[in-house]
This record gives sequence, structure tokens and C-alpha cells, in this order.
Amino acid sequence: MARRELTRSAPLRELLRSRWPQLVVTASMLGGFFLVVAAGLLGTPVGNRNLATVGVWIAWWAGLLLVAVPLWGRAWCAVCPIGAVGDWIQRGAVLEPSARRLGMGRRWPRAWRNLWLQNATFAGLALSSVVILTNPRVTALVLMGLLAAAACASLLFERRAFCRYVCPLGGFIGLYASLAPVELRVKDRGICRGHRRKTCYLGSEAGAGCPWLVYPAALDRNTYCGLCLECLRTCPYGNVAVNRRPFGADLRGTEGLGLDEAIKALALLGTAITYAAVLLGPWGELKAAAYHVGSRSWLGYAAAYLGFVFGVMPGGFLLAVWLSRLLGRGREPVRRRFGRLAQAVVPLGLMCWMAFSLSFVLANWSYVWPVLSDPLGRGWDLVGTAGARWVPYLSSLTPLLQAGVLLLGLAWAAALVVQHTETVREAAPVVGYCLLVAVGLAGVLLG
Amino acid sequence: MRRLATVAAIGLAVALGLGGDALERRQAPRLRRFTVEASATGLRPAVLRVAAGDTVWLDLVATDVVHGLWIEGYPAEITAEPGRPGRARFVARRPGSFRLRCSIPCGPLHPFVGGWLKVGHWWTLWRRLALGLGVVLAAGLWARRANRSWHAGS
Repeated sequence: MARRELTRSAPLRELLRSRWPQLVVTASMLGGFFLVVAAGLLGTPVGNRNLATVGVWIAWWAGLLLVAVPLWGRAWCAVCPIGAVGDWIQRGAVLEPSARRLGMGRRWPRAWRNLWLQNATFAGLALSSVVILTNPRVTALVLMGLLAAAACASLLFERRAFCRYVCPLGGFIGLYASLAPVELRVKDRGICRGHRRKTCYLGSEAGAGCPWLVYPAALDRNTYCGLCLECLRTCPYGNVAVNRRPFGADLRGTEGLGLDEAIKALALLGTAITYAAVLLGPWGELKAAAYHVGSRSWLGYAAAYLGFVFGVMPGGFLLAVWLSRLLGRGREPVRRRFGRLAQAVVPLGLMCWMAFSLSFVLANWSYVWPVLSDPLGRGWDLVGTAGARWVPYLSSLTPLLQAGVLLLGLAWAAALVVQHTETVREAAPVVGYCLLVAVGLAGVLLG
Repeated sequence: MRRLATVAAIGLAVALGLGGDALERRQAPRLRRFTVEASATGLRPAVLRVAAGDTVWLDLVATDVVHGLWIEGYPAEITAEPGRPGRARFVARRPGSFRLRCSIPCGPLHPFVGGWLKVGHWWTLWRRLALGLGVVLAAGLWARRANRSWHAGS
């Protein structure tokens, strides 16, 4: 599949340049956000009867992970209510661009201009995720905390510093957005070089400078572009395009991932395995340890989780990369090779998350129907589905889907490793690592 | 030589995946009894292993609140209250791994309370994965060859 400019279609280009559709969707999401928070705080504490837990961790999560991220990359970030509120406060406007700026507008500290903080915030949430997933009040409090943190960051720092450097979910979506078959890029970098005002980055009367702190002419990966489309509006030459492209096009470059990105990819892979073991595995003691946050058993779980995702997973991959270098002909530094080959872990990671999610989303989707009728669990029956019984959907098909998704991830990862190495011997240790991960997860998910 | 080894690997994977059932040791069906204790954090034992064709008697004991047990692929669904165990009896005909799930909301961890019914040999799953790997490998080789022919032709 070759690249094709979607914005060549005039109606689509105008639709994307208009702020109205994006505002309508974002405002709807914000309405949903406050409904979820209200349900979490005021509704029943029973997780599978409350909109906060069912709406967020089953319905929204399924839409995000199984559809939005694989197909549209960071499209969620373009309509995310958490980042939008801070953005509106900072700009002092909701729809039209405004010259007025609220807040201190400080530059984000240079030492933190990477993914390390996002790795830390993600690990922090992951450690208490069993409680967040199952307790409506905790879900509501976490969502409000994220909204407040984004708003505070907008008042302290310039642009969307929270989304770019802090948001735990933003790092997750950004990494896997590199696989999506959609991208925003400039058409001709020569035009950008000759354009002195750099309106795409600095802003103009037509719109804000890139809220994501990205200079569009330098954009070569989806990871840091929030698809807010401001550059499409501010470029006076119509030099910004939204393209359809092959899946995973960002991962074919020789430059590879930075160390922070590579560790993120490996930690996310490790988290998918941990979640599968804790939530879907047969070990009740493990579930109890992960649930009782702050207890002695939870401290043991936390230490094991952190050791696994930040020690064992990257350590094992480093060993595979070192062996690959030993067996290969090249004399490339290990750190550079680590980043280049870590690109293969990205598709495997997304497929592992999809395989994990398929299991609990399909088994628990039927909880969505009663919650639609009775979002607070107060005995209402708004649309006549309050009495819907629990039925696991596609239960016989789910293991086949999971095995297919895992095999696809493994094949995709192996193809990338082969592409980034010169000989089969050189590729073997890293493919072996991916095989070990896929087989291990298959063992937990498929029994 | 390398091509021969690859073809042999694919052939072995497919043969194991498709023909492995015939290799499984056949034995006379037995009656297997299990007492499963259900609590808010899980089932104990959470993994039940039987041979294909065995008759399974399952007693579900609720240790704290009301629990249900749903077994994937089998019509058996059991409910147990504290002090009043539930019971099911069925013949485990299909080999493979089947999920056990709690079917009655029993606490915050309810969606994740479950286990496995494993029917047949432990390597049933791995044979099937080997078949999948063989298919992926074959598809990859076919795609590589098709790509080369396309480039050679253009």
C-alpha cells in the first residue's frame, strides 16, 4: 500500500480545517467524562453495575485499543477531554484562536524532554490498576486527578506539556501510533525551509502554534503528533497533509528508538504479560496482592512488577541484542542496535495488549447493556436493558482470535528484525526473544 | 539445504498440529470428582485437569458470598451459596483448555475470578500454536518469494 494524501479531497480537507467537528466531538467526550466521574462518585460501588468502571475500562478501552489506536493512531488525543480543558484555559478560548494567553508559559525543563516521566506515571498507575479497574470511585478520582494535573500544567508550562511529557496514556498511545496507517506530514520540506514565519510552530491569526511542541517539517514519526490539526490550519501554503500509508511505516527507519522509547516499548510489553497473569491467570493470591494496595503483599507485588518490566524485560532484550551483535558482522554500538531492534517490539506489544484485552472485553461486554439503562446503579431502566443478563460473547472464538493476534504480532516483529539485520544468525536471538514473549503470553491467555 | 530444513519444519508443525490428536494416549474414561472453593479473589483449585471422555462431577463451595460457575463450551452452570454447595455433572468430550468464570457478581474482582478446565494432554495447546507458527512461516516464505518474482518481473 503506497502513501496517498487523503487531504487532496477538498471536502475532507475543509472538514479537517474546520474547528467545529473537533469541538463537537471533544465537548461530547467532556460530557461523557463528567458523567463517568459523577457515576463513579455518586453511583453504586459495585464495579460491574457502574458506568465509571464499565464505561471506561470495558467500552472505552475496547474502542481505544482494538480500533482507534491500530487504525487512527493518536486520533483519541485530538478529542481527549483531559488535555482539551487545559488547552482551553491556556488559550482563553474554546473555538477560535486567541492572542490572549493565560498562565506562566514556562518552557518544559530540558532534562524532562523525553518519555522517562511518562514511563514513571504509567508504572504508578499500573501498580494500582487492579483497584482502578474495579472500583468506580477510584476510577473517578484518577480521572479527576489527571484533569487537574493537565490544567495545572497548562497554567505553569507552555502548550500541551502534560500531554507530551506526563500523561501516562499519551505515552502508551504515542508509541503504538507509529503502527497506524494514517499520518500527518508536510508535503515539501523545501517550502518549510523557505517560510520565515514558521506559523505551524509559532502560530498565527489562523490558529495556534503546534500545541504538542513539534515542528511539523521535522516530523518523521507519529509518536509525538497529537493530530490536533492546528498546522493544517496555520500553514499558508497548504503544505501539510494527512496521508494514508502502510501499517508500521514509522518503524522501517535505521535510526531506531531512543533509549527512553525502547524502555517504554519493553515495559509496556512486560505490563501486558503482568496484567494477563494477574487479571486472567488462575492465581488468586496474585490478584489479592495486586488489589490490596499498600499492604505487605502488595509491596512484594510492586517490587516484582517493577523488577520485571524495568529489569527482566529490558535485560533479556539487551542480552538478545548483545548476542545478535556477537553473531553478526557489523560493529555497531550495542546501545544503537538496542534502539534499532527495539522497533520490532512495538507491533508485538500492541498485539499482546490486543490479545489480553480481547479476553476480558468480550467476556464482560454484556455488562455495558444494564449500565446504559442504569448508569448509577440506582435501579433505573432508561432504555429497557437494565435486566440484561451476563453473557460472555464469542467465548469459543476468543482463543482463536487471541492466538491469531499473537501470531500476527510475532510475524510482524520477526519481519522487522529480519529487515534490520543482515543475516539469519544475527536475527535469531531477537526473534527468539519475541517468540519467548509470545509463547509465554499464549500460555497465560490460552491455558 | 536451508530450504529443505524450512520445508521440513513447516511439515512437522502442520503434522503435529493436525495429526497430534491421533498420537494422544487413549485411556478408559474415568469419573473425576472436584470440590472447588470459590471466594472473592478466585477459585481453589483454579485448574482442573481431566482426560478427554472423563465424566466430571463438580461441587462448587461458596466460602464468602454467592458465586456462580460458568464453564466455556459446556452447558453446565452452577450456583452456590455459603452453606449450600452447587453441583454439576458432565462428560468432558472436547480436548483443549476451557475458561471457568464466576457468573454472579461477587465483589470488586468478580470479572477476574476464574480458572481453567484442561481436557486432554498439556501439549494440545502447543501443538495448535505450532500449527499456527507453521502457517505463518509458510505465508512469510510465500510472500517473500512472491515479492522477489514481482521485482524480477518488473
